[in-house]
Amino acid sequence: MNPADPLKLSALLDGELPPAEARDLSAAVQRDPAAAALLAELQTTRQVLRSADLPATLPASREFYWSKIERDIRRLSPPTPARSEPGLWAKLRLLILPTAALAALVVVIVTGHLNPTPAASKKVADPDTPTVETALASTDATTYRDTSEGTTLVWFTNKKAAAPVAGTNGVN
Amino acid sequence: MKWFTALVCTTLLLGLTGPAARAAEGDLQLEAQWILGSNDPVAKGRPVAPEIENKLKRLPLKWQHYSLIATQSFAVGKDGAKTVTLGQDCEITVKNLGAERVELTLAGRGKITQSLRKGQTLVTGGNDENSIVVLRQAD
Repeated sequence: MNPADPLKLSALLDGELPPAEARDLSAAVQRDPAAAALLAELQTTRQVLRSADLPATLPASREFYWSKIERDIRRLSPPTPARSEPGLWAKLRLLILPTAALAALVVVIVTGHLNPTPAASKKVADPDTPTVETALASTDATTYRDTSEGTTLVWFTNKKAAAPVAGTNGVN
Repeated sequence: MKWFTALVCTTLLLGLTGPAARAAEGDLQLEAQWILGSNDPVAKGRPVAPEIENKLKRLPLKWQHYSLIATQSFAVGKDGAKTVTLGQDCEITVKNLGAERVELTLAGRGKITQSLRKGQTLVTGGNDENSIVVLRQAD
């Protein structure tokens, strides 16, 4: 056995040698000054490293530390809406609303275009246009509109009297 | 999908608010004037308000001068009718059709249906008389 073997000496320092071998090596080191010097150097180096190597400690356990980070991530990220299966009403609504809108549109278009009443057409064309009915078949009506003044003149004329007799008609 | 919903909502809104808006319209406050036209500068009745006279002079009537014989202010509720006698042989019936539309019936002559908003004036008359009826919303 070479007592100056650094590996053996290091194992001796770490207490990793079997007891018999450790005893023999300790005796050999005492007899060999070089081995004793090497052992002393290894001991010094070990002490220096232990004193310089500060122990790193976590403020909390590893699991708690990471669970805290996970909670923070969940808190800061917006919640994703849960996509649930649409209910029966939602499915019906998807069908009913477009169908009702189309039906209403069709009714409006059909009733408006296929069956327009003359009065309705006139109202849409110009709501200020007067509708005139004469009381007698022999009566005629003349209409004049002054749109700038908002004035409507409806002059009833007896057809017989409306003959070109001067002064029988108020309208020029 | 959204535009379908908007279309349906709009249709419903118009359907619901339209009648409500029409129902909210109140009475029509009207003023009827019986005016005589003349080419004689000496007026028989009271002078016509300048605003009315200006309107009459813009119409294709053959008279140059107008005088006020009678005037009446009255209210007609929606779908209601009012008969007003302005003078002998001058009777009118006004029906409020709603939405500021009226039906004016000039006794023995005929019937006129048209809008009569504030600022609008309806002038009627006829035959061989110089009798003119002016209808408008009262101020």
